Amino acid sequence: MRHIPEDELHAYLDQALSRSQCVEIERHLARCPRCQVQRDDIAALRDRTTALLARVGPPPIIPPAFETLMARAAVRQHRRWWWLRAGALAASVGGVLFLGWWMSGRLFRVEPRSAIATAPTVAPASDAPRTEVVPVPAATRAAPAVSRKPQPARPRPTPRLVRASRPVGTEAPAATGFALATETDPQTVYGGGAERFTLGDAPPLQLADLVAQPVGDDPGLNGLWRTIVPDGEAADTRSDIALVPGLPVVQMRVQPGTPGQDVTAVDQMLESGDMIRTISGPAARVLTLVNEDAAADSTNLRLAGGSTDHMTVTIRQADRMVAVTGPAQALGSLLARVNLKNAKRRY
Amino acid sequence: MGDELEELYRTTYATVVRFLYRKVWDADRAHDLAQEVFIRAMAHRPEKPRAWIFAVAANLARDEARAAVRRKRHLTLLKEDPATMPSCPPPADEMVEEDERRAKVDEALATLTKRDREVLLLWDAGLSYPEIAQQTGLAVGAVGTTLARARKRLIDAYDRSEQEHRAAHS
Repeated sequence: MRHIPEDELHAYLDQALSRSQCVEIERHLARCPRCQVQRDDIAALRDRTTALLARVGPPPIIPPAFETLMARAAVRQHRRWWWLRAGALAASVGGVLFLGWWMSGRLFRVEPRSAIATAPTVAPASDAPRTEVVPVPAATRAAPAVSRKPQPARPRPTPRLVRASRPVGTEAPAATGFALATETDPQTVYGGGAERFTLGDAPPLQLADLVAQPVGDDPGLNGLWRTIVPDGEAADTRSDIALVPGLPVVQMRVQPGTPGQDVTAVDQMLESGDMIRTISGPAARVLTLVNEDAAADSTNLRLAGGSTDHMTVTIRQADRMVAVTGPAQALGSLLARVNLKNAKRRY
Repeated sequence: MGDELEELYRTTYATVVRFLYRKVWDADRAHDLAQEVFIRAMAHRPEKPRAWIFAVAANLARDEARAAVRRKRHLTLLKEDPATMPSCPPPADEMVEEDERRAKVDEALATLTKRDREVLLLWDAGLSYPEIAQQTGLAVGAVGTTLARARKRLIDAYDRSEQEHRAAHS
């Protein structure tokens, strides 16, 4: 005869069995005294457990109204939604800012071909050959730190102009103008300001890149001027514009007038780094410009040239005049060279 | 759903409080936790609210027990400083008896395994065998076995404690 297991009796007393199981157990209990005793023991144990646990119940308390809990749940839900909305808003703002930053980087990316910085910089040491042009004196300087778009690709001969070649590491002349440099080392980074440009393997700088836009506060050049882009190597050999042959042209400007009455101004760089300016055109207009030049505060010119004396040489022929201005020492040596050449020449 | 939950709240709140009280042994804390359980149920709207409520109550009680252990460590540190002990009047005899009784049951429950204690308290809270099985991960058939063992161990432990207490007083 099979007796009822203990766990089944527990389940039977806890009413956790199906109806058929209960009927089977009750049928067995009716004819098995041993299982009856066990059932009574388990029932007593069960009642004692219940009583024991009931003795340590919490003191009776009136529970809060259901509506009170509902209100608290609503407040909590509202707070959760508020935080969710705030989080979504913050994420949106962050996304927009990031997108703006990313787009600005895409739109205003600087072409890695040339760079014009606001101050001359010392290039990192490199074994690669380097070409530098520093400084451009303030007298011939246009707006500082003007960034030009690259000129359309034009066939140009080897740019002779930008060549104040100097051994790497030597000190550059006093520079107040903008610095301009090319670098063949792709790792070299130029620029003293916040912007830095990797020049990479950009081609050598062309003369046209050097020419800055005219500015109104250039002493001695009042009026409206238009910049002429010299045509590479032919710039210093043009016969239609008065200039000193053999010197690199930094800037060439024209003030239009009636036909044949244009005034031209050509800025050229001497080997010493000083700048000279040749103004040619109708005598009256040139004289006016020269006088204005003399009257103007030419501090910039003097500082830029590194000398304190400033000199103007004029040559008049009928109603036309050519005036050459620049540092006295440089201009004097230039004239001395011309005289010497003339003296040796025999006709 | 709201009516069902409201009805459940009216019929089960006291049971949940008792269930929690036997875990945290703090009436006020048991009431707070019970209200927290029902507030969460209102937000979640569970499909089987009764089983869900006891499951959440068990989890909250577990978290509370961990927090109590941390508090106890802190209080132990404070106890070492007599200046920080509050000067409270001696408790009444009833409170002493109540405390002793609660301590004995607490000790007896502590002798059970974690699973046995959980099954016993869930059964005492009125959960059915399938509900207990669902919450504890046991098979339904194993609930009876576990419950039989837990009852026996609890009564044995309590009787042993009573005997030790009598022996100590005699």
